[in-house]
Amino acid sequence: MNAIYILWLREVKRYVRSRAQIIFSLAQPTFYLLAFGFGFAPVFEKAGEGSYLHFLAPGVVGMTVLLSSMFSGIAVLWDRQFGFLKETLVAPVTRIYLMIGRTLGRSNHRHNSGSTDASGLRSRRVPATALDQPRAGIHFRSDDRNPFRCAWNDPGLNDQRHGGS
Amino acid sequence: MIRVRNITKTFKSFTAVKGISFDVEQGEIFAFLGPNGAGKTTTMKMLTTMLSPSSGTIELDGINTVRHQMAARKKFGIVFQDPSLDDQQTAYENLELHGILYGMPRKLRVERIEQLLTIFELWDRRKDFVKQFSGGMKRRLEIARGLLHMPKIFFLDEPTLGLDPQSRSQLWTHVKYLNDTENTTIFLTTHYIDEAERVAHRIAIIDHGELIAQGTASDLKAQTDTESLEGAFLALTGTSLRDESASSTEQVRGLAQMLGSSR
Repeated sequence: MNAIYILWLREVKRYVRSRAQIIFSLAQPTFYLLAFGFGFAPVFEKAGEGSYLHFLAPGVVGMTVLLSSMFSGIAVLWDRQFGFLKETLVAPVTRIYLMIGRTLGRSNHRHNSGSTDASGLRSRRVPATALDQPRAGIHFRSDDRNPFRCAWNDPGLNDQRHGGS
Repeated sequence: MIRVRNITKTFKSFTAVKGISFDVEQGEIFAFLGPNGAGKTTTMKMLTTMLSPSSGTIELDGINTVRHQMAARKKFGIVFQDPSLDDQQTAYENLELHGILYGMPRKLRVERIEQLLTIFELWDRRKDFVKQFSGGMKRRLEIARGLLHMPKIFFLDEPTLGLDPQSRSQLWTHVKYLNDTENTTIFLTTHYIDEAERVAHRIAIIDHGELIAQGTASDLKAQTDTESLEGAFLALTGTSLRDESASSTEQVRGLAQMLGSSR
């Protein structure tokens, strides 16, 4: 149990200490929002209905989470290269604990960067339903007038926009 | 303290270690020598539970390393050939992490960390990040870390590689001191044969996966009728050069250097 705690702590410390990582995790979604948000919003709003930002926001949060998850995977390789992995492998701790500790610590980063994005977006009046349930279930509706319009598989949003269809 | 009986390790068609047996007594400093690719590292990995032998048994302080892996791991400390510190944490945090991984109670951990950092002259630098340390300081910290949980057996895998003569001599002074005061059994590999001769009580020489000689330095010299241990080593293992293919870790490291990346 302590082993899980100390590995979690290590990941959190490393995240808090690495300024580059924090800046990157904030810069990347900002970039997406600015570039795509301002770039495509007029096109989108002409073609369909609703705010493009509302459509984009959950995706950006999702992207951030996905990207930092990938970094967590790469971090294991870095640990291997710099030898630290060996130190944990010869310790009298089962592999599963090592994995749990590491994963918990890393999921803290993901939660951090994800929720920072979310709170940043909220201040721009993006509705909570769009942010709190960034589920990846997108369905395309063939009977729509506009084939590019897709709705988030979110009952709240669907009800609002499509009358519960 | 270390009891090795007839261990072999086979990788697909290649046999790296061909049935070696030896014993190391408590409180002994045992040096394990051999040219590159002789099976040293494989043996070391088997002794430290990182690989399991294809056949044969290894007992550390009476504990079978395959059947009781976790108990065996608590018995030994290790200093790896390559650095294995977390350089984004401070010296103190590195030791603390180790102590917690090995399940040391808090009070003991704090006392022991202070004691070891003082012995290794790192107490003043305990709050500095490891990335700011010199090669010698990192090695000292690694040794301190390996000894933190008071292991009965201490493995040193080429601990002096890449160190200056000052750090090397100081390192061996520390190792000898700990061997004297805590009666720790020390198992080391090195390429510096003069060091092995100076420090080790007993020496074993491995080549092509077989143990070709073991005994005290003077035994080995008498056996081969040579003046120096280095002469004995060359007489036993020949003078031809050995090529070793790079390990996957080395390949990754080479790639990283090529890409000019840093952490």
